[in-house]
Amino acid sequence: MTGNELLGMLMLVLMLGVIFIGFPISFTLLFLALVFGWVGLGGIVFDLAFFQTIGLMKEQTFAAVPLFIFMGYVVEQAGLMERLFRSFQVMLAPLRGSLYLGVILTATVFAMATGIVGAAVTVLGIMAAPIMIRSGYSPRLSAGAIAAGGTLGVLIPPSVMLIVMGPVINVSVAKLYAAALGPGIMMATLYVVYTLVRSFIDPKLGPAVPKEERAASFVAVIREVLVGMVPLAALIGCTLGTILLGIVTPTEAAAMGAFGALVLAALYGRLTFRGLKAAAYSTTATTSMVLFLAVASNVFGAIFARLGSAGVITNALTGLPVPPVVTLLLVMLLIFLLGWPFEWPAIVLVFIPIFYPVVAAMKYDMLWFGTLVAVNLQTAYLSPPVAMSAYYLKQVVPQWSLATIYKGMAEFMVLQVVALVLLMLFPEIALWFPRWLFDTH
Amino acid sequence: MLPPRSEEDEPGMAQPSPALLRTIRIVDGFSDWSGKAVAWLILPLVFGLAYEGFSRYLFNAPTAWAFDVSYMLYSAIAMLGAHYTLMKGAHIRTDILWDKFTPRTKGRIDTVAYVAFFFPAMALLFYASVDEAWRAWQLNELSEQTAWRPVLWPFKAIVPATAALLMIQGVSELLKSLYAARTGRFIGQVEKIEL
Repeated sequence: MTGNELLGMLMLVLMLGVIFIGFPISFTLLFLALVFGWVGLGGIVFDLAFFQTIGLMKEQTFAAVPLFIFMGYVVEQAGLMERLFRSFQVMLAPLRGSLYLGVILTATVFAMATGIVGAAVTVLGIMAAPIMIRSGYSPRLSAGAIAAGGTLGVLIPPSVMLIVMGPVINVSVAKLYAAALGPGIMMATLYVVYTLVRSFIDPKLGPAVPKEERAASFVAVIREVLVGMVPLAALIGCTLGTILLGIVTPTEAAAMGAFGALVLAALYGRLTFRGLKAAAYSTTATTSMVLFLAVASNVFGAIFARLGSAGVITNALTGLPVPPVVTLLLVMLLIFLLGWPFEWPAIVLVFIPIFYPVVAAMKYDMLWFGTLVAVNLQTAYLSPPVAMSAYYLKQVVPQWSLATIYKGMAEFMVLQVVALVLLMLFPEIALWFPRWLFDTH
Repeated sequence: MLPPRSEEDEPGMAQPSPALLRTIRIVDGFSDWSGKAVAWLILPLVFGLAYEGFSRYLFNAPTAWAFDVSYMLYSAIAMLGAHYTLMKGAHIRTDILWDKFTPRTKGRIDTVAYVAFFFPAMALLFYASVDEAWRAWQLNELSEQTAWRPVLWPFKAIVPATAALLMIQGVSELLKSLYAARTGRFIGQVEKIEL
């Protein structure tokens, strides 16, 4: 190893140490990159840092990040999720386990209207838990369904995580969206099948909704569905459809989607200045926390590569005397373990760039790899005891103990691992849709 | 959000001095105000780009300005909101150990990190970018991205402005950390943002 390569490795080790202690990651990265770069490369490092920063700021695709986050907040503020849940509830009421189905379908549709997980678990907990409790549903399975459904937003398009991941692994965001759709729907299906089968085997877990909670008449059901479901479905269809068909860029679709969400909120009479203010402020903080980290890790990554240390890691990992598939499994296991202490922006922006050249050197399909990482990171949302979703759920549903919530989440985590294994064995789950979409059209 | 969250005032526990509180309140107030002002840029971003989308695909009349406007507005929100995000305590920390630390330990770690890491990093970022922004202003540099060709200096000035704003809010954060290190109590609250 040359002096500079050694310097880069030292920078990496220090970075890991400092961020584990808990100082904000973005500032740590910037500091270490600038100082170590200065020592190793001289004053040119400042030009490099500025160039990298401006380059990232010109990445027009990232404009979709605040837009999809904003869209999600507007949809949430407008109470569209409650309407949606109400529609599913009245539609499915006589069915055993119908509330599980309602929760998971609502969460899936909501995931298609927002770029982040956000407050999905909280909102689902507030609106679904009381009726689940009244209807005698199993607390454990209910908590698991709410927590698992709530995390789908990080995987299902228009996921902000995928927008950020696209440039990191050199895959277009539209393709990543197309590839994530299959696994996302597979995941939701797994949840549904699991809860329904459990409810059919043991009706006590999820009885039909009591008569007095059902809609008065068939007409009322139709009305609820038309008012509560169709407009949102149309908005989502237009937003995602235009991206996938390549009619507009993800950025434009995000703007049109956000605009549509504002219009919908206004039509429902739920567009208030207070709500708009809250949405705008939250959007800024969330966007800034993700994208300022993107800037910092972009500078860090460029300097790490320039010092030559990135090459050392790639050579070491590709030189392992094991078949490529074992190396890939190792990388996936590392990401799974990193998902414990780190939130996805840190993993996608700091660690994936380190693994990327390794996976690329082994000639794996980056689209597939990106989807695997996305499913892997979604799993982290459900891993006790670090998963914050458990605490959010506990806060809004004090009747459920943390232990019950954890047990429920653990059951769904098993489903996640099943999905991950399926996706590794059958890459087509992710790849057929983008291939069909982009190669034949 | 001020004054401090003192559960009960233990005797002998020093209250923060009025000067300290005033400084923190002024700096936080400034960051709150300026961050919220920046937040409203989301509306022109939504309307501008939605207009472009409709205009191009429905009426086949693309605008000259949408591309430049989109990256300029988004990066303004992301960068010029960073100090507001810092005030909210929302920049990502690894909380696996952090959550177990006492307020005093947190204060000590942050004090060291702000002095040793944060301020030098922001000063270097400012140094790395201020000349470029200045040159763009002097040369009246124009964007090469589109036919609209807007001036580039406001866009390039975002970088040094971000560093400067972060340093301003950093003063307040450093004072809060020092106070927590000394007394084991926090001034203000941090928000955990759900991603």
